[in-house]
Amino acid sequence: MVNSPSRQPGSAFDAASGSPPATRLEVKDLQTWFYTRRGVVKAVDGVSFSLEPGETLGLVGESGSGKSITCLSILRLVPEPAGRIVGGEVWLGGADLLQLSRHEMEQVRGRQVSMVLQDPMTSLNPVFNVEKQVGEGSRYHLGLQGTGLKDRVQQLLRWVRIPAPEVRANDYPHQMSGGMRQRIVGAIALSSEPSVLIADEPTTSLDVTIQAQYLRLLKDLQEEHRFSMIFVTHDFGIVARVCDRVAVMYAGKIVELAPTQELFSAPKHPYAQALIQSLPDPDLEVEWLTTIPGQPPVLYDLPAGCPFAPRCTQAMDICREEYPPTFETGLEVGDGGEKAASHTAACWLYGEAGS
Amino acid sequence: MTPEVSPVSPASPTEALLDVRHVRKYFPVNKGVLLRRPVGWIKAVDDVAFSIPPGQTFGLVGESGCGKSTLAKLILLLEPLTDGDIMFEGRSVAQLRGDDLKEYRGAVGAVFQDPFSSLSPRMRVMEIVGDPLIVTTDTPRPRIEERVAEVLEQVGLSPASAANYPHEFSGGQRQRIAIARALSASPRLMILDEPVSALDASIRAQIINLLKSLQRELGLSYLLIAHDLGTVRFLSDQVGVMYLGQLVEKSSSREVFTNPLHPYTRALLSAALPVRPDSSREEIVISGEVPSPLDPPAGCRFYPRCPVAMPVCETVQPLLAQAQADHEVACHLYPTSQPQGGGME
Ligand SMILES: Nc1ncnc2c1ncn2[C@@H]1O[C@H](COP(=O)(O)OP(=O)(O)OP(=O)(O)O)[C@@H](O)[C@H]1O
Ligand SMILES: Nc1ncnc2c1ncn2[C@@H]1O[C@H](COP(=O)(O)OP(=O)(O)OP(=O)(O)O)[C@@H](O)[C@H]1O
Ligand code: SF4
Ligand SMILES: [Mg+2]
Ligand SMILES: [Mg+2]
Repeated sequence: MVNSPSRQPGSAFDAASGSPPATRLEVKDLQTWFYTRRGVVKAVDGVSFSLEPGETLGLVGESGSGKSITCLSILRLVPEPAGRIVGGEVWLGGADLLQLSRHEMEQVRGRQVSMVLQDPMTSLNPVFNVEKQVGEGSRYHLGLQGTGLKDRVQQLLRWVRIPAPEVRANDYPHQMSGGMRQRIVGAIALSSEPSVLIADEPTTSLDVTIQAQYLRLLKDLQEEHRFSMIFVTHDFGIVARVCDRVAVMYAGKIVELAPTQELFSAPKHPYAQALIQSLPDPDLEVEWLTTIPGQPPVLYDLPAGCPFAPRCTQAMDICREEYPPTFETGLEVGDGGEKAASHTAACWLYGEAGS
Repeated sequence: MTPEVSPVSPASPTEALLDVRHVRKYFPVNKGVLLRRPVGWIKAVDDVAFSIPPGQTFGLVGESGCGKSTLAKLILLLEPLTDGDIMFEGRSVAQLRGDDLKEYRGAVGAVFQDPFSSLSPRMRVMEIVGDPLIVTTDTPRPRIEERVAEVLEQVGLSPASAANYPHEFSGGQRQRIAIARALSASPRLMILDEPVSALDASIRAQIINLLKSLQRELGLSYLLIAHDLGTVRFLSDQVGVMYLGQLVEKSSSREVFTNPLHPYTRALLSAALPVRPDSSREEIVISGEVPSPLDPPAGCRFYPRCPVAMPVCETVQPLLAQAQADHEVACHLYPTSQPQGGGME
C-alpha cells in the first residue's frame, strides 16, 4: 500500500510556504558544446521544446545524441570547463534559469527541478549510508529532523520498493544491487517533491515487475502533485506507458516531436522510422535483428546538411547540402476545437522539396 | 606471446565449459555504526546450480536484488564463495594459482552491470580496452593497438576514440567500451551483466547480432544477465529464472518463454511491456512487499506474493526438479517439487 505523500505530516506541499505553483518549462534553442582536443562537439545543438504542468515528455534517440546533456543543461550541471552552454533559454516560473546566479540556481535544483541521473553510482556518495543520502533533501529543503526525518526516509524507501527499509537504510551503496541503487536515486529525487522531475533512464536495471510498480507509483505521484516529467529512455514500452509526447533526438537535435500514439502509428522522420523498425519482438523467434546500416555520426565532424543523410534510404540532394528546418507534418485539431496536437519533423521530405 | 596450447585442457564437447555447483554466498549484516556487530546474513545466492556447454548461452533473469550480479562476481573470483564449487573446463576455479589463474582470467571476459564505475576515469579507452590483453598475455604493443581498433569498430565506435577518456562519452557509448574490453582478449566465456540495457534499439540490435555471430564463429559461451526479455530470448539456449537467491525454473529458452511453469515466471513474462504499444496482453499483477534476502520466507520464497499459493507453500520449501521433459521448476503446483516426491536430481 502506497501512502499518499500529502497525508504525511512532513510533506513539502503543505510544509513549504506556498506549494510550488504549477509551472511550465520552456527550452528554447539550447546549445551545449564540448571543447575537445579534436574539435567542438556540438552535443546539444538548438534544442527547443516545452513541457506543460503534469505532462510527461519522453526523450528517446540514438546513443550519444545529447539526451543526457540536454537534461544536465536544464539544471546547469554540464561538466565544466570542457562543456559549456553556449546559447539558448530555459524558462521556468518566470525566470530564465540560464541567467540565475549560482546561489539562486542551487535553490531551484532539487527543490523545483530534480533529476535522477543516468549513472546511479556517481550520484551516490560511497561513504554515507542510504538513510543519510535519502534524508538530505527532506532535511535541507523541508527542514525535517529526528524521528520525522527517519520516518520520511522509510516512507521514501517503501515508495521505491526497497525491501526491509528499516535495515536497508543503514546500508552503503556498494552493498546494494544495481536495481536497488537505481531506486535509491529515485527516492532522493522524489524527496523534495519537485515541480519538474527529470529522469534519465531511471529503470534500466529494474526487472519488469518492479519496473511496472515503479512506473505506476510515479504516475500516481504525478497525478497527485501535477509535477511534469522528462523521461529519457530507450524502452519504447515505457514510452508508450508513461509519456504524453515524445521527442526523438539524433546528433544533438530533436528530429521529431509527436504525441506518443502518433509516433508509433505514423513516425515521420526516417531515423524514427528505422528506430521503431529495429525493436525486437519477444514473441517472435528471428534469426537476426534489424539494425540501421552505417555508423552513428561523429559529432565533431558532422557532414553538411542532415546528419542522418549518409544512412537514410530516402535522402535527396538537398539533404546533403542544407540542414532541414522543422516542419509541421499534420496538425490535428480536436473535435471540441481544443488546441491542436502538433507533430513536427526536421526532414526535407516534409518540405516543398519532398512533395 | 599467447600460448597456443593452454595449460588448461579444453573441454570435450559433451563436457560443460562452466559448471556452477550448489554455490552459496552470504553477506553479514552489521548493526551499529561503531561496533558493527553482525545480526544476520543476506543470503544473496543460496544453493544455485547450472552449467554452460561450450558455444552456448545461459540466460539468467529474475527480480532486482535476487543475486544475479553476485553470482557473476563469484564466477569472476571477485567475491569468495561461502559454499559450493565452480568448475571451468573441469577444474575448480577456487584452486587455480599462478599461470593457471592468469589463463582463467584471460579466458573469461566480463561486462559489468554498471559501465560507469567499472571504467577507470584516468585511463584512456586504449588502455581500458587493451587491459585484458596487457594483463593476461604478452601481446606486443602494436598488435594491441590493432586489436583495440578492431573491437571498437565492432561495437560501433570510431577507432579514433581510443585516445579519449571515459567521461567524454555518453552512457551507451561507455557501455560499448565495456563490451569492447570484454572482447579484446578473445575469451572463451563471457559474463554479460546487463550488456545492452543503456543502448538505443538500433545499437542494441547491432551488439546482440555481434554477440551471436561471434558465438557462431568462435564458439564462445555466454552467461547473459538481463532484464530485457527480448534480448534473453534472442540470445539464450537455456534460461534460468532466479528469485531471492535461488533458481526457481530452468529449461530451454523456448520452453521458458512459451510454456512457463513457475508462477513468478508467468508474472514476469506478463509484466513485460509490449515492445509496440498496439500489441496488448494480460498482465498478472503481483502485489505485496518485495521480500528480503535477510529473512526469506520459510516455505516457498515466492509464497507471500504468489497469486496461486496453497497452504503447503507456507511451510514446505519446494525443490527444483524436473516436472516435464528437460524442464525444471521449484513449485508445489508440481508433485515433483515435494521433498518426498523423489524428484530430486
Ligand atoms: N565531457 C565530454 N567531453 C566531450 N564530449 C562529451 C562529453 N560528455 C559528453 N560528450 C559527448 O556529447 C554527446 C552527447 O552525450 P549524451 O550523454 O547527452 O548522450 P545521450 O543521448 O544521453 O546518450 P546515451 O543514450 O548513450 O546515454 C556524446 O556524443 C558524447 O560523446
Ligand atoms: N557487498 C555486499 N554486502 C552486502 N550485501 C550485498 C553485497 N553485494 C550484494 N549484496 C546484496 O545481495 C543481494 C543480491 O544482490 P545482487 O547485486 O546480486 O542482485 P541482482 O540480482 O544483480 O539485482 P539487480 O537486478 O538489481 O542488479 C542484494 O540484497 C544486495 O543488497
Ligand atoms: S510453490 Fe506455491 S507459493 Fe511458491 S510459486 Fe508455487 S504455488 Fe506459488
Ligand atoms: Mg545518456
Ligand atoms: Mg545486478
